[in-house]
Amino acid sequence: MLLVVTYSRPARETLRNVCRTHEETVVRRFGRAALLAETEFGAFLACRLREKHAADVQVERTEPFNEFADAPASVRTAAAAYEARDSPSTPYDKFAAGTDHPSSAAMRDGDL
Amino acid sequence: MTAALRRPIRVRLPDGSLHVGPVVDLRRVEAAPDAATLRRAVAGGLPAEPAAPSVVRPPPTPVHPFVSHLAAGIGLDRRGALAALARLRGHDADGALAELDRVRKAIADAAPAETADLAAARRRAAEAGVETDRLRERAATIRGRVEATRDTGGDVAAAETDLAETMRRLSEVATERVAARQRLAALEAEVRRSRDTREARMRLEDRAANLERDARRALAAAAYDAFAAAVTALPPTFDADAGTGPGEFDGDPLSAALAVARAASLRAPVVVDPTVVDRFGGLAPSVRYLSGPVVVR
Repeated sequence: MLLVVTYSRPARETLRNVCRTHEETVVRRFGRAALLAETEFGAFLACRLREKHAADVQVERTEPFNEFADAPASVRTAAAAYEARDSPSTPYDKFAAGTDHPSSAAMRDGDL
Repeated sequence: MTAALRRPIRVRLPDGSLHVGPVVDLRRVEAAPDAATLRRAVAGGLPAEPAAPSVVRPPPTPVHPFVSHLAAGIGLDRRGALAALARLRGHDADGALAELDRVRKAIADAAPAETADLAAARRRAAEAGVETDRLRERAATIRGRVEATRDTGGDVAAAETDLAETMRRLSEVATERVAARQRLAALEAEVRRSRDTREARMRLEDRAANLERDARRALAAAAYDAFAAAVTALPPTFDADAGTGPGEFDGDPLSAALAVARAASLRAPVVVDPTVVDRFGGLAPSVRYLSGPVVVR
């Protein structure tokens, strides 16, 4: 999908109008951002916004995140284990200390 | 007579005739320009061109543009007019205006740096990618041809030269592609940083819009008593009711504009349509109501 985020009042207003007029192409709306369907028309709307508001519009192409393909097993396992922790108030790094789970710092440095 | 009326205004028409007085009645003056022209002359003072009339008058206040032409069918930004009236009377909307000035200055300071031409960088990266793919396919095709020719015992020299040339070109283009991608990534990182500034600016713009709305509301409310008194003083022919708040006014925009003009104690003249004079029942009651200089046209 195409994620459009606006960074000025006029750009936000244009996005609002676009969303109102082309509901069929808007997958989801969030205040000053929207997800557009990945169709030529979605691209057309994104191009129009970029044409009109230049750097006040950010357009990203998104894809579904498959944790089994896109994240290392160590990360996936750590998340599952942490969500199954006994004490809800334990911070992650305290939880991970002394286990095989990666530290949050190590994960921050690791590019996907 | 009020101080404003003691100081006469002077209207010089394009035909050279001079009309002086707190009240300039042009109803029976054939050479008089239309109301819109006179209104511009009041706003501008000196004539913009030789053929335009000139009006010597005290400088118009910010309320003046809202009420400078009083005729049936005019429009009026009532809240805007009331806000201008309140400011004229010294209200500052509980500090909202000062805060608004501060926010506006912050917006000017928060202007994001010009970002380099990201679109051009995107285009170069895309073109380099397409060209690399094209040459890669071409190399594969030639390689197939070399092998086929070799299998049938033919002469592979020409095809091999072709392949070498394509590979050389591919390596060049691949280098260009890497450079274009790096350039794009660097620019995108720069833009990402500038988005923080843009986001901060947008929050300030939202704050300014809210302050503006609040200030207008507070100012309109502050001027409302003076406005309501002026509405009440209108003759019954205007059939207007002020209600108890800025949103409750019941009447036409002309009635509201007349009341704003009266409450503002104007020193620069307003241009009044003859039909409005008639609704007041004559020139004297009109002038008495407006209590300021008047040009009838």
